[in-house]
Amino acid sequence: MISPPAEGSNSTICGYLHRIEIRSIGLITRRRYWFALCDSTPFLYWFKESDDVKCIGRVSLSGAAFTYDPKEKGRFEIHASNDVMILECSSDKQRNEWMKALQNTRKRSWHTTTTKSSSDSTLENISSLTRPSSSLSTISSPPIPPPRSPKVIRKDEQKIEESIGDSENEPKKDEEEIEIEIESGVAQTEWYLNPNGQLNERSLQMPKVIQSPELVIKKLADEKIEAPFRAIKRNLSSWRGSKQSTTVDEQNTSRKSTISGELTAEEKCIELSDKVGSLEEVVESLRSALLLSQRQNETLTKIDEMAGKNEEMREYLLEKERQMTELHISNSLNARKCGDLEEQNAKLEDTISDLQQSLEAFRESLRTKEELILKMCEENGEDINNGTLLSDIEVPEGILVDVSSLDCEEATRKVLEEENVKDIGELQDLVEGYRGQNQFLNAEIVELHNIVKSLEDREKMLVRKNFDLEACYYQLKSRYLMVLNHFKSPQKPGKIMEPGVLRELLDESATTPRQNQQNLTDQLGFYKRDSLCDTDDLLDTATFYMKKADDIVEATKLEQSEEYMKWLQSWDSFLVNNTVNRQLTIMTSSDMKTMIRTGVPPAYRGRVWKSIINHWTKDKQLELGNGYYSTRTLPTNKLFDEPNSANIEKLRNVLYAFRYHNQHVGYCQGLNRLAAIALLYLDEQDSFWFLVSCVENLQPEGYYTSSLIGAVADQKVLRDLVAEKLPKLAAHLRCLEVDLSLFALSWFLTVFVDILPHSIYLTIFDTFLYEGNKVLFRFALALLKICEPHVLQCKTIGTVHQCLSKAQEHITDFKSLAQVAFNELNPFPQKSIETKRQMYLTQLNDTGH
Amino acid sequence: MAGARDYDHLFKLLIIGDSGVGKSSLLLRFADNTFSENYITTIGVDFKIRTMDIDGQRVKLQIWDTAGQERFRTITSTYYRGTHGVVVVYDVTNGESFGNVKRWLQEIEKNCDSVHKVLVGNKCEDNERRVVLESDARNYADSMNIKLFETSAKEDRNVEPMFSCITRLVLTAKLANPAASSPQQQRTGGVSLKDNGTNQQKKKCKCG
Repeated sequence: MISPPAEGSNSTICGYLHRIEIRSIGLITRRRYWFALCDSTPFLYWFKESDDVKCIGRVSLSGAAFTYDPKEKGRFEIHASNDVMILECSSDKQRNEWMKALQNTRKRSWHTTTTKSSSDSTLENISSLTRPSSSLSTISSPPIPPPRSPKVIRKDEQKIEESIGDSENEPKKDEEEIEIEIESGVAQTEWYLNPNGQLNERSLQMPKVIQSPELVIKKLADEKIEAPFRAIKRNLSSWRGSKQSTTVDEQNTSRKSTISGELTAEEKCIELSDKVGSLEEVVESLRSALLLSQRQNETLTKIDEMAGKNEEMREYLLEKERQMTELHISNSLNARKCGDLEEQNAKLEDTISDLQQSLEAFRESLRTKEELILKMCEENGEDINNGTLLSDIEVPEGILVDVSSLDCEEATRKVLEEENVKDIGELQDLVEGYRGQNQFLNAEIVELHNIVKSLEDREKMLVRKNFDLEACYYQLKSRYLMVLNHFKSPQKPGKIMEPGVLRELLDESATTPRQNQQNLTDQLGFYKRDSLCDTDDLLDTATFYMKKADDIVEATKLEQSEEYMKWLQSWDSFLVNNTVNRQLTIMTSSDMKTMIRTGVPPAYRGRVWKSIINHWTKDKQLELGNGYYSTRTLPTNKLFDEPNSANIEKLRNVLYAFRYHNQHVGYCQGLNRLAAIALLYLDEQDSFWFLVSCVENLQPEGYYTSSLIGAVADQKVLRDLVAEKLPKLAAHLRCLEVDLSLFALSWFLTVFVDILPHSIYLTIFDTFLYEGNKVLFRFALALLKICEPHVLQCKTIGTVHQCLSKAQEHITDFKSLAQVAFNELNPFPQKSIETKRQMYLTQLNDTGH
Repeated sequence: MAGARDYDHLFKLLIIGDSGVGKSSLLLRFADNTFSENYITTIGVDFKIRTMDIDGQRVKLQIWDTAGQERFRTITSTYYRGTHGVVVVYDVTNGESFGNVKRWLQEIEKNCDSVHKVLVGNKCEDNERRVVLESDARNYADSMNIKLFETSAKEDRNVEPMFSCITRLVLTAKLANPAASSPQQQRTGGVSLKDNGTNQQKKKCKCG
């Protein structure tokens, strides 16, 4: 049973879906959950049942991709963060709606994130902060490091060389060796000729490591044919330089072709001939090397003549001779290799022609298949019932020529599979389905591409911003370092810092962008009393800002804590489901109660309040009609004194409307507080209903009426409860002859607005709206309990008053207060409160109160 | 009670008057020397303490500020008992609040035995909107045998003298006749509310 998706909003959808999970060992589970999707958050939540408060799980849609297989009816997949979620709904039509909604939600989510970040103006603020001022102009900003260190560049070069080596194996070996020689050899080896072709100074000296001719021979044998390369290294390197540029291009093209997976044989051929060419060049260079060696030999003979009969030297030269022959040998070896390569080349050419042939055959078979399918369709169109038709058509053997290609095989298998689909209508549906899927996937690709692009843009922007911030940071740091330096060397202050710089720095720090943003009031418009420091003392200012910094850090920490995130998430999931599923009544479960008791996140408060109010006043609103609030002409009569500010007109309207609506209560001082609180989160009309539900539904009767009899009775109930739960405190207060109602009356009439900071009383409002008057007793007792140790120390009524009217000093957060109110004070039966209240009400009525 | 007292006398004063005439502002000006344009409306009762020096005597004043709205009267009435002096406030820019002074005086008669009073016309800085003339008010005050002060909590005019005056009235009365001046409260310095409204002595109005 799947409930129809909500109409109207195109991206708000909910309903029961089956979630299919494929576990290890091929186990497939199929579970039914309630899924809800809302345009306000980029998450898809699922619940056990439609009216559940807590979600089972959620998946982020902001980076997700969606797909489906038209063969699977109603089934679609969400790919998000390396996970695949398979869902199934009852029909393809529903699937389409879900997919559309999912796409819309995703679109909105990344759209909002990008617009949000682009409108972020902190950067400008910060960069304006560090504008060079006249006296600070001498300070130079720290040097910007070069973009890349030489090391990196070198690495890149090496990479290029390596990649060259991939394509040409033969010359690479030599080159690599040469490379090593170039790098390491220059410093140590003494060769006979220096790079300019002149004799090296120390060339006649025997290299120290070589002790005997045997060793020399051995060493030369080890080094093989390296030695002559040293002489020709200059030649070679210049030759390499020119060759490199060509090979790099080659490399690129070959890379590209491998990436696309279509490296044709022709290209291979070209490559090979290139290789041959390069090998020829090597041979050429080897020849020139030989020539050079010969010249060397001549020179050496001359030297020999000059040096007279030096046996050792001659021997050495003989060795040289032998080495020459070795070189010859290696030369011929290379020539042979060259021949080999040519052979290889020829072979490859053969392969190319082979491949081309097979390609042709493949194409042929494809064409045949297409014709076959067309024929099949036509024939099936003529005779739908003829199910055996397909097998009648002879499949030419030629189709399967291409046995080497796996892809082809698979394609054939697929075609054959589809041949097995007997019903032609089914086949057509499938084609239709594939077409639809194709369209959808195309759109999906476009959209994902857009997302990637926007994300890239964002990343770029963030990186830029980050750089700017870093620059700012260093600039600031350098200034402060300068100040520190100044204090370190007080003997010569004029040299380091001009007078007035410190003052300027202080002024600057006082006008940080953060402070400008939250100038004096918070988001709700409450004044921040201590946001400015007006002492002239430097140390005081410093400590003040230090404390502020700590506070900010503390607040951010709290906001990033896991608990806070979980709390937000649970509300998020609840609201998604609530927004989608209008039938859901907010007042039905104990889960809901526990959740409300943790407080409502400020961003959601308006919506939650509204739904609670609707719950309370639904019948009245229906009875009184839709335009009840707005069509009233209200008596204009000045009832209360408030300065003219933005919300006052609205507040007045709400209160007038309420006075008109409930003439029994009219206007009672304290209602203005309630209405003002409502206006923080709700519009005028809802604030009116807020007031109605507070007075007529949440508080007991007679709370705000002309005699305040209900409130007075509740004060007596509270006194009893205090005596019961906090006997010590009750005794102490009795001893000091302090009546609690002096304080507590306003707690009850205004729901703690007068005594607690708004961060706490707004959360109390959450629970009050949900649970009603009883929580006021809970919170009043909790407040007294927390203040108890302080009150017990008070010796006079004055100090008690001072202590209790500054309760916010002892109550710093809602959590600890709620802990006492909802856990430590239990049991807390509603019944006993009710009986006590009735008793006092009759008592008060009897005494003619 | 604390062993070493930091005062010679403890008096309890009460401020009454219509809603919005500036009772809380007067108290705030007197006790904390501050003023706020948008002070919240008082729910029930509030109080502040200030010590004054009158003729070399240290007088500790416990000043109770009440909610002006009619429906809070049953609650505020319990705070009249044990009061030494009452400050009745009206708003010179609000004729109705001056008209209600009579009712407030009746309220005092109803709830107190003997008490000293002053009449205060607040917001006297706002001459443009003034509707209650000082002469009319003075005539009325004279006829009731009460002292009149025109004050401005906003501009701190006459507030200190007004409170000094009522304190001095209470002090002189007490020094003249120590026994008569509500002996109970003098000793304890507190207010008994336990048995509110049960054995309250009501007196008929002395004057119309």
